[in-house]
Amino acid sequence: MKADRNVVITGRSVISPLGDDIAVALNACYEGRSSFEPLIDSTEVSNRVYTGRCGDLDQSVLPDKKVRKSIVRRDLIGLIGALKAAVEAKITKGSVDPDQFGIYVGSSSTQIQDLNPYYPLIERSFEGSSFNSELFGKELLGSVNPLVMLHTLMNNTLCYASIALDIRGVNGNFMDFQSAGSNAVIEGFHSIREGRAKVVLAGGVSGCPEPYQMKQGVDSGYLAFEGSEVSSDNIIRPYSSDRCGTILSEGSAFLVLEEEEHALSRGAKPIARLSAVGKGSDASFAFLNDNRSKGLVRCLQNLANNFKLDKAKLGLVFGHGNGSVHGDMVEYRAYQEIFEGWDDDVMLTSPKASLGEMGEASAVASLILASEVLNGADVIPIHNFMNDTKNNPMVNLARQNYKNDQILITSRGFSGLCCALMLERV
Amino acid sequence: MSARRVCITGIGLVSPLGIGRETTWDALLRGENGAGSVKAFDARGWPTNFSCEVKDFKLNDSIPLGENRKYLNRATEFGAQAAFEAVSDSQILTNVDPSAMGITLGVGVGAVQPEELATLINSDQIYRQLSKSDRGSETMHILQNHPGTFATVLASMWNLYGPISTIQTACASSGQALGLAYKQIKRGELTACLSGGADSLAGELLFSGFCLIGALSRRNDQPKAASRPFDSERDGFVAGEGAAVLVLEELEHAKQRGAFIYGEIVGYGETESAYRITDLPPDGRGIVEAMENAISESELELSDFGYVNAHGTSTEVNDRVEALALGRVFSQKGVSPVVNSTKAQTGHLISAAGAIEASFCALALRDKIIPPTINLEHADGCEHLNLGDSVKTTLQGSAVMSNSVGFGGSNSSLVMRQCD
Repeated sequence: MKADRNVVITGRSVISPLGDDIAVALNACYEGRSSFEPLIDSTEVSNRVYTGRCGDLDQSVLPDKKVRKSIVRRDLIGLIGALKAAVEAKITKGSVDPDQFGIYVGSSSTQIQDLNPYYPLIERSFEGSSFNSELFGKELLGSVNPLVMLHTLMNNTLCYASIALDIRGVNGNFMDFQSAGSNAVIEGFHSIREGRAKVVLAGGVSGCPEPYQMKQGVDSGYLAFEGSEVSSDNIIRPYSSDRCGTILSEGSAFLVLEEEEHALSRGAKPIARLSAVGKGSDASFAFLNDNRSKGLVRCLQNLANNFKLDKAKLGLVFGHGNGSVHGDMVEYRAYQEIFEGWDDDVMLTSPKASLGEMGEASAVASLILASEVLNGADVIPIHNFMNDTKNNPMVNLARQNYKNDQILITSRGFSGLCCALMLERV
Repeated sequence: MSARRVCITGIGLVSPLGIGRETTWDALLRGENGAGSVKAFDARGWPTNFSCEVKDFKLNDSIPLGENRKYLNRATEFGAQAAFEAVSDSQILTNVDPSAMGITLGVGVGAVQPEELATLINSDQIYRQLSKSDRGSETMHILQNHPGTFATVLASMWNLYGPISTIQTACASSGQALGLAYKQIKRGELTACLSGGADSLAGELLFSGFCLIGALSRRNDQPKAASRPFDSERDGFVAGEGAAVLVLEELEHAKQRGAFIYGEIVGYGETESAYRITDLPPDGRGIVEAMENAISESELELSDFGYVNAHGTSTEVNDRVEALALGRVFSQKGVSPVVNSTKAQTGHLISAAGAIEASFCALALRDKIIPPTINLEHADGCEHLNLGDSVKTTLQGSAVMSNSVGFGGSNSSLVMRQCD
């Protein structure tokens, strides 16, 4: 088995509340602009909870418009994203050996709102406050769309993208919360390195947050709950001492990973090289309440076991930083520990003040913006930061040019899974 | 550096055939059947009113779940018990660096009850409850029904700091989870990994989803005869529930600590059929390649194989296509390992199916016994296969295979052999 296969990126897509144009998203990040909206509802308090929703979707890449009726919105966003990444890589159905073409997806879970074909029958099946299962079962056939279960499968993005592009190789659908997308990229990376695939479509998709999720997110302190006097652009404050929680966004982000030789032989242009990966676990729901978590440190140490961290090359980290009270602090401490002695030389940034917390797609979206930086775009500044940078020397507050060759991207998920991806200039 | 090898050193089971590994295995070898009337809810009048439920389950109080117990649902309670049995069996926890032990699982979405759904969809009511004064006052129960939660509960209980992953590819979930664990140990990322699956269809909404697509058998008057893989009278699968968790371990590490080794995993194949969401390509494409990739990686001869635990769901399409695929891989090359599907006895454990069936393969290697083939009266389209005997038989050959096929097109195939 060849051990020296290089893995490059030849296609990308980001669909976010800022649209589906990478350059537009990047500009919004430079300007600290978001498109978060308050929840639309009649009650007063709901105006203090924001969310990021993708607008109208460009469905021109769909091979069959009927597919829209077969999948829920999350998977429509995922499928369009996956196909757009293939377009940038100039990959079409049949252009890659199907058995050497793999797909790994990080997906959010089934949503209550997608079970709406059941609602009328459920309503009819209540007798007062008790549910009559017998009645529900008797009327089931003929009352509910028979395909509701298939429409809501959590692996639908994987399935429909595979059919659209004839992907028949390695595959998997990860459910690791905010680290699911990066876990998918990591498995794609290994598959190419180990010779199990030549090309892998990898990324993440996150569905639109639901009311009950928002409620529990607010109650737990994870989500921001701000007054209307604060602009939506100023709510997410990554790493800032006055951070107050995050905002959930729907969206997707996908990469085409490819063995470098394979890419060059078909005339594809490598955008960046994925050089190393690492994973580790907090062994707790640390994101919520444990300030001592070490999962990110372990993850970065695992990456460093196979890849020398070099301050002459690595000058920027795209952190998970989503403005959550516990998470950002734990994350910053991990960087201080790993980069001890040279943390003055490594900049830390996060695009989430503009993109929001895109869940399963978030780290892949960061990686894609990082790939732009490696190709000449400026580094994104962190917006809404209130601290003294003397105490947080890594935090980057300025839009600036980047001359180094490597960028590190990190993610931390509710499950405690932490992932790190090392991207290099080609 | 010599290639790292992966073995199985612990197994825990909670199944419709019993609570615990040996109870389940003994019942399987006796040809028992877990099917019966649905007890989880009132299924009178439903198109299908029977399933394979876990009976008389009570979570072992000595499992040190602590406050994380609130994050478990019915399926993951099964999973916690199976995991506890597996780590007790392997004695791995006191013999491994916790940073080098990971978790990979295939877990189904939790069964939301209709009453709960009625509450959760009432957005007006939910919004009215939003109040800054509640901040920090409630843990996130939203986690309870998310497939990814269970791995964290286990990692937290035993302070396991290696990577954790949860896979959801429908019925291929835990087969793929085992494959991921195998790959991570082979790569050197992990010394050991807890891997398996947990699922339950014992709730109105999940159960009805399969009723609606006509996937469940409607043999309501004969539940124990309903799951009949590869039989001409099959009319759908029988919903099951349960959990299976295995301890996978780097072989030299296991040998050095004197662990009992059930068998060695020597090959894994993972493919996509890329055809339709539920149907399989008529030529068996996808399943064939998964098996061939796993066999190729194992470097075994076809003649080494004595048993294949097929996915065999007892649905018309799956069984026909899988039989054809098995013919392409084995029979057409003059080799006839015994093929059967233990779903005839356990029902279909969905996300946990791959893990419980891999466990049966490992136990078959341990005891050199093949479980019986039940409910097979008239083989349909698989005359080329050796479909085994109605009683347990001796395993001929040193290798076995476990197949999983999922809605959405994911396929996995695991090859194990007796450890030298």
